[in-house]
Amino acid sequence: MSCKKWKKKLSSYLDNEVSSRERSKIEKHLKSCRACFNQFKQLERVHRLVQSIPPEKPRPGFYERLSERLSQKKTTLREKLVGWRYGWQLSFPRVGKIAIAVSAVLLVSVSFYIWRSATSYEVNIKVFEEEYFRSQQMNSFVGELALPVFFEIE
Amino acid sequence: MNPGKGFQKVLPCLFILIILSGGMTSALLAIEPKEILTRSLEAQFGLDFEGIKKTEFRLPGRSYTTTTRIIRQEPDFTYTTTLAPARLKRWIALDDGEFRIWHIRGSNKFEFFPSENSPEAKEIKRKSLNLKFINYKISRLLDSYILARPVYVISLIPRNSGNPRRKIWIDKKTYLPLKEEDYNWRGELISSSFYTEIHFDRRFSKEKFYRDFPQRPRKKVFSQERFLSLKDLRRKIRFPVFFPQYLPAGYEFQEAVLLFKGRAVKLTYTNGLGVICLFQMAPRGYPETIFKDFEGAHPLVWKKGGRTFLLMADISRKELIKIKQSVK
Repeated sequence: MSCKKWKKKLSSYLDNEVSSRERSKIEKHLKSCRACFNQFKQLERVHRLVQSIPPEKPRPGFYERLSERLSQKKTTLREKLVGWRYGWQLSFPRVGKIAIAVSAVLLVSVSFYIWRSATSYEVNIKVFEEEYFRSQQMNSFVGELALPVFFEIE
Repeated sequence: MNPGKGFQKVLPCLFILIILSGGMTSALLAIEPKEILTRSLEAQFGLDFEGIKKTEFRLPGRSYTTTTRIIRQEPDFTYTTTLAPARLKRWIALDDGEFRIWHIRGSNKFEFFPSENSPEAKEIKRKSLNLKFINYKISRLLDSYILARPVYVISLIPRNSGNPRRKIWIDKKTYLPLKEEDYNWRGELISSSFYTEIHFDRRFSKEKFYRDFPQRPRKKVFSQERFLSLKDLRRKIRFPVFFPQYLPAGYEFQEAVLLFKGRAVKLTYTNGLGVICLFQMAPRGYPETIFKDFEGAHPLVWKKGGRTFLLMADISRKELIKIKQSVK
């Protein structure tokens, strides 16, 4: 890996955002590469400096003003969905939610069953026998097609 | 010289000459059995009649007999009602040249099958007749009578052993076959059909027959209710089809039919009279257990590549196995 790529990873290294394997690789590289080591030291200094600055408190009334501005903002689709989820959580009791979920599962199962029964056949072996006779009848002179119910004739 | 004596000598020669010329004339005028069969095929699509027909199919250990009333209106309309056995009296069938629709009176049950009067069916029958001419020795037996009508009696003997043979009684006036008997390669009667009553030139209103159906049957044109050629089959089938690479002498492809909404296919091969049916079910189609104890028309069942095959034909077991081994 080139030094350019190692340098990109230094910031993540300082923030503890790399895996242990990567961490050991970076450390190994820093030991062998002077340029990267220097850059790391600089970054480390900046990091330390930033941490030493005390956090600034917001001016009085900041949160009230922010809340007012947010309420005036048009809701996005994402916000609507979040709102719907929130509403679902609030408007239905736990039992109601279970009932709705069970109904949905049942509906899907019944639909699947109806679809399956519409597309599947009960196969009777006599169907093949009947089809055999049907083919035979095509070569017949007198033949009218055999009844489609050999299994019922027995 | 006695002139009477000379005449007596000439008389037998004259008699023989008359007999010979009569025989030659009748031989020249006699219709060829192949011509009779050809006219008979055309008659099946060009006659109006009403008749009662008895049909018997024989399988090892059992037989099926049905009696039906058939009304035929040329060119492509047939209406059939079942008269016997009693439990099937409610069954009726209507063929309008597009589909053959079976219906149980008083129910909403319909079953759709390929029409036997369609142009495709007629073409299959025509090809089948040509195969009969190639694979069978066709001869005319002594004329006879059926339902007090003079009939030609035609015999079809296979050129290759191990195939079925047939005897047909054809009406001399209309060329409609009035009786037919099929024998298997062992000489056992396997099916017979004959009219017990027949009336020609009866016309009916087709609408009258539709009244027997609770509503006019409507059907989307599904390919599985049509006879398919190999080309059509390859276009319509949803899974790769296997074909037999070996067929007994004289057998050719007859038709393909899709079954169970395209999840199975029937391939039929014929020599003009005998048929070989190869059914194949798509992978995960049906469990093999449904074929357990199936002792129908000499079947052979096996599984290969996840799919189930069923081979049916009234030919020797040895030939069946040879066909089975060639399927790929």
